[in-house]
Amino acid sequence: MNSALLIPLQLALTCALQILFFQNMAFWDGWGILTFHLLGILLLPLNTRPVLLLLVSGTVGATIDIFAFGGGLFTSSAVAMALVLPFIDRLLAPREGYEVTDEPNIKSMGVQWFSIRTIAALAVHNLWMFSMEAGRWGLVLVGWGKAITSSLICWLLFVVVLQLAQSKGKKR
Amino acid sequence: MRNLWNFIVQYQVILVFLLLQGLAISWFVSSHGYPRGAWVRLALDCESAWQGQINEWRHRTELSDQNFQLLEENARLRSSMGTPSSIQLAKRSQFTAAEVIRATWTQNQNYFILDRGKEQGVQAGQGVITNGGAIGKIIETTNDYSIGIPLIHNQIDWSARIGATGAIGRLKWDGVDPTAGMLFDIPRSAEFSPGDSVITTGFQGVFPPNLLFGIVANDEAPFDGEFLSVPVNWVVDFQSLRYVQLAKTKDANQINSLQNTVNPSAP
Repeated sequence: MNSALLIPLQLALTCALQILFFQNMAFWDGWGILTFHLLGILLLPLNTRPVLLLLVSGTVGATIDIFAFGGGLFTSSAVAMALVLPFIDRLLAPREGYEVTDEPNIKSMGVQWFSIRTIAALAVHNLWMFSMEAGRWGLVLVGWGKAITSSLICWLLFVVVLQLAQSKGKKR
Repeated sequence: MRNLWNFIVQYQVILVFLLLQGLAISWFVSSHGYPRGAWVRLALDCESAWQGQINEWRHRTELSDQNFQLLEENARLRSSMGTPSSIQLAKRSQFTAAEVIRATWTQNQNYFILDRGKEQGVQAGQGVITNGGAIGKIIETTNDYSIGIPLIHNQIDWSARIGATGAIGRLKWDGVDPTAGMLFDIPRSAEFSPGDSVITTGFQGVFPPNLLFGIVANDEAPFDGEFLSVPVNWVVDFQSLRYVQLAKTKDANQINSLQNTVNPSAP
């Protein structure tokens, strides 16, 4: 499929799944919060301009906020993650840099690269989000704990979803 | 304009980030109870701290104004009434309040500038006092300001007396210790003791009589074979001087013209 069409579709699909399905799922008394819409942002091409990344992330976050009554919480966190994502990509870049054909998924970059990038980006997003939500110093430590566990669960979810999607692609 | 554009282009990522975060956080604060409360508390704290600071400044300014008003009131009262000893003083003198706006207290020939001048009736030769203590005299005036020399000026003598009826001498500063001067030409027969008042005589036409210069110090009075030199501690702390009063001798012109008939070169 044409990537110009695939990217908006990918963003819309992850947002829709988050709103319709994953936002209602919270494990272990809030220690496992799923933020599936971030997969759409994480799968944006590696050469996406940082400003565009910020704007797209802001839009995705705002969409979730509107439907999940987040009140700006997801927007702020997604924008924070989008600011850091280019730095993470630069740190994880191969010595000779990224190829034009490289895509930020398991198939193209491998499980290790994908996992480190995803966990780092999710950690930034969730630390920001839970800190904001805590609102006071007494709850911040608990919030950070939830941020770490939620990031790990979300990373696991992304790996499973991408592996399933790739295996279906291969069958076809 | 080009610089502004360059700045925006150079920092576009951080500017867009700040803009989006600003919008998101405003949204968050306005839609969540606790952060809204925290924000309101923070805003109230800042507001009250700022108002407190403003009130403190206003209070200080008011105190300063009140201080000066009290000084003027004091000057009016001193001009119109007083204790039996100062009734004569009041009869002969008028007082005007002023503020010291510039001064030196660490040189040999110090000076001070007051915020009152010819427009307020200040004339050269007027005595300057504070809280009943003599501190100097005006030597020059402009329309709105006047300059004076204090007791701590090593080129000027002041006519002084020990106690109300004691010996009269020349009071002079040696240019060294800003807290003390020396009363010269006191006869050996004069009776005095440490702690006695050293007061104005009024003979120079600068100060009204019986204003305090200082008190006789506890040090030994040197004897030059003819006269004693009596050490005197000033009653005024010159370095903390801020508000003063200007003494004007009533009928000064008549007195001066009389003086001029005897000695035409006298000021």
